Amino acid sequence: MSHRLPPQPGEWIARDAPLGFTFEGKTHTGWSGDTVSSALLAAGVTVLGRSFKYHRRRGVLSAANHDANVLLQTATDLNLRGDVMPVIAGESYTAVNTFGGLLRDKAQLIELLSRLLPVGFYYKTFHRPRRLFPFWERLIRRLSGLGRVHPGFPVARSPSRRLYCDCLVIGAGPSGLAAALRLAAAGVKVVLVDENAKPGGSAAWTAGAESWLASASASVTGAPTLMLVSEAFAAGLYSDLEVPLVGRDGMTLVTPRRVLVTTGVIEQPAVFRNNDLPGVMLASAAQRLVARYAVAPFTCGVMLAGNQDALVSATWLLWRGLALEAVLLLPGFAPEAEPLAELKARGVRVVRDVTSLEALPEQGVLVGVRCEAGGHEHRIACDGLLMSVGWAPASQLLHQGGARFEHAAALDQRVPASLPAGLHAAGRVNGVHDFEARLQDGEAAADEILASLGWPSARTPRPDRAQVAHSHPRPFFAHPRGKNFVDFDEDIQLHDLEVACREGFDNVELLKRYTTNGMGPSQGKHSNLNAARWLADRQGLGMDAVGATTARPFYHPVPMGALAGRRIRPQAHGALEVRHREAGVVWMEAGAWLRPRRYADGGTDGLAEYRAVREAVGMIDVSTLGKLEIFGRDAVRLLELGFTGRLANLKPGRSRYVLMCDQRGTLVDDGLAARLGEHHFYLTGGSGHVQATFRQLTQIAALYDLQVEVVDRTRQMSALNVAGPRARAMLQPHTPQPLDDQAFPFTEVRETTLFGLPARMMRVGFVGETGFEVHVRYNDGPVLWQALQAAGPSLGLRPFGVDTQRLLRLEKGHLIVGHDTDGVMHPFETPLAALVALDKPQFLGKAALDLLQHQVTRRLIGFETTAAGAEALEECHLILRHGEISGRITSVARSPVLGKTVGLAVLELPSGESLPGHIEIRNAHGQLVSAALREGAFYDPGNTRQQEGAA
Amino acid sequence: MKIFDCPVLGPRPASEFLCAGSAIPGMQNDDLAGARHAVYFGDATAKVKREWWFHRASQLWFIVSRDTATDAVLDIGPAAGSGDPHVA
Repeated sequence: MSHRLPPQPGEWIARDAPLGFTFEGKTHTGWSGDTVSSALLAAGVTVLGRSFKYHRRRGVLSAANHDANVLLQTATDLNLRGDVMPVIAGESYTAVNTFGGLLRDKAQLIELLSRLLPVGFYYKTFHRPRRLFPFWERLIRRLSGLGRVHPGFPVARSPSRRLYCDCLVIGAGPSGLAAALRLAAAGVKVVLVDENAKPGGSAAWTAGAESWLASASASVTGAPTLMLVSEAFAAGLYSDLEVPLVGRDGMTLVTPRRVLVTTGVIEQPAVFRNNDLPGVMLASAAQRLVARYAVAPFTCGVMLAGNQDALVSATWLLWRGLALEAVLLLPGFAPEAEPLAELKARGVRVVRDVTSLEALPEQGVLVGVRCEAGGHEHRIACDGLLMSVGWAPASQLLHQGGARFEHAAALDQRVPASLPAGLHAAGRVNGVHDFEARLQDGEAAADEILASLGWPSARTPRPDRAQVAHSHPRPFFAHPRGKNFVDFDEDIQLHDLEVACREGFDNVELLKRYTTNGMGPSQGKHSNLNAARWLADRQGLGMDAVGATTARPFYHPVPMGALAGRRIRPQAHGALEVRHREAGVVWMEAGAWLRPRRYADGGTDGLAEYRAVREAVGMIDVSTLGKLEIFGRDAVRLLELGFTGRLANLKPGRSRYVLMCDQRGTLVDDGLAARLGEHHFYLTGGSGHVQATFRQLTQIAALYDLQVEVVDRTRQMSALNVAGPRARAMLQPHTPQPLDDQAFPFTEVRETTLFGLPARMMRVGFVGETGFEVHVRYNDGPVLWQALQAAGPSLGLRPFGVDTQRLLRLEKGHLIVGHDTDGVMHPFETPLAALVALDKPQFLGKAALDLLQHQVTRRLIGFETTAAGAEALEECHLILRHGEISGRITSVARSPVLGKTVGLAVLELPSGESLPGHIEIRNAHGQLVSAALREGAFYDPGNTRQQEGAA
Repeated sequence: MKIFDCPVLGPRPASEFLCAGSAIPGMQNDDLAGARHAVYFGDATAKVKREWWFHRASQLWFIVSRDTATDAVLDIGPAAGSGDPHVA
């Protein structure tokens, strides 16, 4: 039997587009625009889920994502909220948290034990005896929990976006729409967000608002500066009014200048026995289902009325063709006579001052209601019991923004008492309930925002807040047999609150934690207020004195994928990437860069690259070096201030090794400073540190007001290091620059051409052989590489990678900043102390270094060994002295040419004692390996090979 | 503080900037004891401070007056030639 009504004005479904889907294995048909819940209700399916703890049958409560009764799983996703999830053609849905299907859930037997399972039972019971705890833990974990994650779920990554606007309006109900349209009419850039598929909110079921809603919706589409974001919710309100909007396609972080919260109110259930049966729902849920999806959620309804809104809803439902049998009035609620008379005239029974109430089930579904009033018992058959007893303001975002609330007694609702700058509220969350007044409140708020932004605006006055209660203070009915649920997510009953209070947890925050009331997926949207009201009543306190639990982000659960966004990892490739690939490169990551670790053809022992450099000639791509060019009258002054060494006396055409420390004296970068002219330097430094070095130098330039320009040329230049005994022979035929030691000595720099390409050449010695670092224009890099490869074979040229380079430099005892040094190491702990010129008047880090030179408690020093176990030494193996850890290895390798293991280590010398001759290092097998300490280079200690350039 | 109303660049999101705190403490102080004090005993009280901020896209330095108690930005201007605001 179909429960679909004839076409309703403004309905969201498209009756020409049927969609087939399955639920719990049964096939159903809905319309495009349906949610899973609305399509199932239309098909007469009322049991849509099982409760978390007792596995009770559950149906639609709010139809608005304010509860988590209907949680669904598909083959690719889980914990989908059926009430708001658009039904997808061909999709198969099942309810989560069942054992053997929704209707035959075996776990429903747990309910028989519910009297034995009061709150705190788990805390108190399952930790003794200790050895049984794993058994209980496994059992409880299996029984609890919601959807099941399958490893085969497709990985769906959603983008993260940013959005900037003048005003973000959260909630597209009457006041939000009115405000957004007024702001947009003034030309302000507005973002209007609503969690529903279409704007309008409760206007869709407000009698007489149909034409206003139609025209407002049309105006939204036509407003050029208004952006409507549908089916997304504001997950939180953070400092500086930042608001993440979460939709099905990911997260958008909005930075508005003003925020207007028009989130309205969330209807609250009454608490009575069996108030969770399928068929018992909020009055607004029934209205949503009728207005949006043309679904009649019942054939014969009863309205539980605790406020004026109940009568308005009842009238509206009758007018839309639904049948209401009776209206039950909560004790103390005295409705206006006129609407009540109208209901009576339409054949609706009115029962006043209901003192006890329970819903009657048959096979777990509502079939009637039993109540007592004035000493009489009434039994009324019905398949729909609507609750209209009160509202909780959707004030979570306002609280997060720093708003203060206080309880307005006449309205019986918390309303904003003060709002921080930039944050505004209007509509029902602001305590304004009448439809016309809500429009005016939205417009007044818009005018306030316009004025605060400096835009011309009218001065619409704020309407008065409602003076009549829209909420009942005590919507509770105790029952000796319980099952009167306060929280539907966690199956918390009135009795559980009482137990918690008796055990001393009688504060609103403690009550929440002890009972887990409000801690389920819907985060107390339907339960926090009732718990607070119940506590206020029990303790004889006012609502302000009872207070409220803290409303933390997120407003709704946010998928992890939305938080993660897309995994974006920038990766930098140099101009030579293709050449490396041709040469069979094996890549390694160096910061953002990909660098050649080695090339596939390493010879039988993998040392072909190494031998080429030591015996013939090798070339390595060093384009990733940080490269700064510095011009200007104060260039030398800047470098003297930024680096520890002396550069004023450096002659043009020469280069010098330089160190940079931070203000605490920590060694942060090293490099070569080449002086190209009186006021012109070229600086190469660490690959990963160039941006920080650039920042540091430009900051000093600004601080000292220097006449200097620093240009980052890292990605404008390609660079190759050609090194080896035959490097000179290799290059000389192709450059007009004489390369002999007299014309081009070690450490000097020349601007010349190589293979006809403009080239800046520096004689360097990092790997310990005659070496020329050639810097060319970015796109000339591959050309140079190819030319060298064409010219090189007869001389034994090989490209070499970072692995070989690291071995070569280690043989020379060169440290790598950030690899051999750590985050607090200063130059006086390293062999580089001589590069600190403390007699300079000012330079970066001087104040600290002046102190640290006398506080050397550890040393970075070389070691060598041929002892057994040396081949198993690795970085970070520990140095032991007298059984205590006293240092670690930072670099270690087997030197082929020396026939021994060499490395660098940090050795602790806590009381400034002199260096020992030997250290003991424990390798991964636990062997103690003795090694001799050694300062300086292991290979060619006199540096004759790199300086004289043999052969 | 999420938007800096910069006189040079216009309104820019704070995420485009890096905060370097108070310039380089003590660097311009020729009295080493005073300079060391500036390095090791920085003023951590919450109050209005003048800080160095680097705009990554334009590679420019700015001096920002910021109340570190409320995170409110009171003023922003180019750093070049302004000297170290922490040196009296």
